[in-house]
Amino acid sequence: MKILFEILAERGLSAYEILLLQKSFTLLITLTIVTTISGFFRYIVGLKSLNLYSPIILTFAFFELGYIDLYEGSDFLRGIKFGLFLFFIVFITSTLIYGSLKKIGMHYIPKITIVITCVVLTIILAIILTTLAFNKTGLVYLDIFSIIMITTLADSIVSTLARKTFKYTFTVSMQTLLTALLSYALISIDKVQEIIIDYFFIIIFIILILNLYIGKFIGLRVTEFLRFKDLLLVETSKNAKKNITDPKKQEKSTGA
Amino acid sequence: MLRKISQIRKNRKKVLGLNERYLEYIRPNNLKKAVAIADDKILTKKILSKANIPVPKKIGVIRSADELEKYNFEELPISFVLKPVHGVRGGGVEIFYNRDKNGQWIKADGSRHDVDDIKIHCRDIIDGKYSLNNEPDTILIEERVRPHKIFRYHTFKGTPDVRIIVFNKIPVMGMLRLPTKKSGGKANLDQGAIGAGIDMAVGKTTHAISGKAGYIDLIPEYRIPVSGLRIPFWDRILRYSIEASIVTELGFATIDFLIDKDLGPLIVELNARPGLSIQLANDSGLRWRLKKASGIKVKTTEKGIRLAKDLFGGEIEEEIEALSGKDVIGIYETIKLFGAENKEYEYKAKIDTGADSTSIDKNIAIELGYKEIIDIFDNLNIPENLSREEGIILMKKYADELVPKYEKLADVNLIHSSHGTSLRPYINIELQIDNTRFETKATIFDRSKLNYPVIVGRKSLTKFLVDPSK
Repeated sequence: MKILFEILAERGLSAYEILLLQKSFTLLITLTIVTTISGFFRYIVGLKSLNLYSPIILTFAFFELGYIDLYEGSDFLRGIKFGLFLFFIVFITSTLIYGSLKKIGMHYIPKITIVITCVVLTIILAIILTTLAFNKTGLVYLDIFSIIMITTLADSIVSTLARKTFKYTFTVSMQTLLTALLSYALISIDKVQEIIIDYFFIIIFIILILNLYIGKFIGLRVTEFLRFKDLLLVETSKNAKKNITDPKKQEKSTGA
Repeated sequence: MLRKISQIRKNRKKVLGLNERYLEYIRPNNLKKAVAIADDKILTKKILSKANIPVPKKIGVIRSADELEKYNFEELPISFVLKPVHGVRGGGVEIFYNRDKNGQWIKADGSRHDVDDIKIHCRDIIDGKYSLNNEPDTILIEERVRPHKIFRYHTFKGTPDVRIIVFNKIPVMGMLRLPTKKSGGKANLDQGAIGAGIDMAVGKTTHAISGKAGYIDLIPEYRIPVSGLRIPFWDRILRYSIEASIVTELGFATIDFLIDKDLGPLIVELNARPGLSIQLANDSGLRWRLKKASGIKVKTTEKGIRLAKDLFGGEIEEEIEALSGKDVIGIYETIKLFGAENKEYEYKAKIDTGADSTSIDKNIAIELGYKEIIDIFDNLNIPENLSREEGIILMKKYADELVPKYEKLADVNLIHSSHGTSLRPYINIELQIDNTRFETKATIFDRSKLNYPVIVGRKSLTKFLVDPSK
């Protein structure tokens, strides 16, 4: 990949433009890494997420929230801090508002719109409050697209709530968060970003191979080992039967 | 710890997981067209009724908000069921049991609902609240199935349902789902209903789980055991489930039945994505059953039923064996006899609890190496029909005379039958029935004109239980 950038530099691209390109290329590759991680969590570990896009959206929201600018790079903890803050605002507000709207019989989309309106209001209030009351301007500088991305998660949360229990929605949301956090942690490591740039095509190749493997994986998921532990831990019935019907053993046991 | 790991590795081969369910079974066996039938309750009903498979009667269909406004709810019967046509996991299904004086319908939990309440629920369904991917949906109104009396003490309000997994035209596993107080009268495991495994051979419940809480023995509301409940119309259930899988061309599916007290089993739903909790309820894995059922050519429904019973039944029997420590055997068994140098001979035998002792045919005895004994007895020229007194005198005489002399002769004994009393030699033989090998005494008799060369009598059956239906 380095050669490509050298050629581009010879053709007259400035150092800044090359840095920009490198960032976009890294992010594009990261997209495939995040979906691979999502697939790994779903099919091999067995963690469910709200839907396919929510962990991806959340990972990039974390990433963008942690990103300061091209020269300063990113701050991992900043991403986590603001990301979690916004995620919980969205989760708590949407469950509360949906809970109170449930009793009024309403059409689905207007209901979601009301939930999103309330989430947006809460976020605006939070920004105003933190700046006015605590003199903190951190939220002012946040990337607005990340905030919008996290806000749209309200739809995934509410549609899950509409069909399942709160307990299920909570577990699934937490699993989405976990997947996103792990993906974010991985792509935030400087070394990983360097490797992505250095071994661009090899990484694409590895990702394709990995996904072919996950795509054909028919083993039990980690969570299924837990779910079926009663079945998996039973003594094999054949052995149990053998112990009983083996006449010599039986005689011994009755003799004793 | 290591033993546990090897145990898990061994058992893992029996259990089916979500990944394998999709890649190995759903995808290759359920074509898109077939899945579309299972996902559409109206289409399912139409196709099944056409094939003369019983389903609950349709009362009405509401396809849009317009139709909903025009629909006359007052004409509905006092009890009915409302369902989203493309609903998943029983979401949005409402059962109304009765109607009070004010015209309000009553649900299982006792709550009352007027027409406006029902209309709001209908609007939710039409808007796609309960359908896959929230797409607009259609409402199906059906007659309510009145539960069979046998479940009276096993269910709390709602109607229990029987779920059969059919693969390759063979029913491989079954589960009875019993609504509880916790599940609010719904037969849904996620909501706390009880799932009981079924012995495929006889249609009796075996193990049970309560929702996701794990194994249970007693029904919480009534404190009676879940196991041992015989599901009525079992053969018809197996038959309809095979027929349904044939007409819809679903190779791997769950068929859900409700059992009406008058109409018998009715198919309420097909599902092209069988759930996996059924494995916990049955305390048995699906994977080995599917492997066993695959590749068999099932030409007739009868063969499918027989295969289901033979291949996947018998848990109750195994349980009896485990409790009593005795094998359950049938009336006719193939047994093994062992001759000199452990040579095996296989014969058909009748298990006869009316006979006192085991008897084998003369020719078999010769093969096993007892020719000497037979010759000696033949040379004695003992008359066939002795009186009791004569018999006792002769028996004592020969027992003293011959038994110490010949090692192979275990005893001589009198056999009383309808033909009179006869004196027969007893020999020690090694006999194997159903994997259990033991030593026993047997008489030698000319059975060449009889159906079975070997009869196994009571004295040789102390290690077994005999099941005449097997």
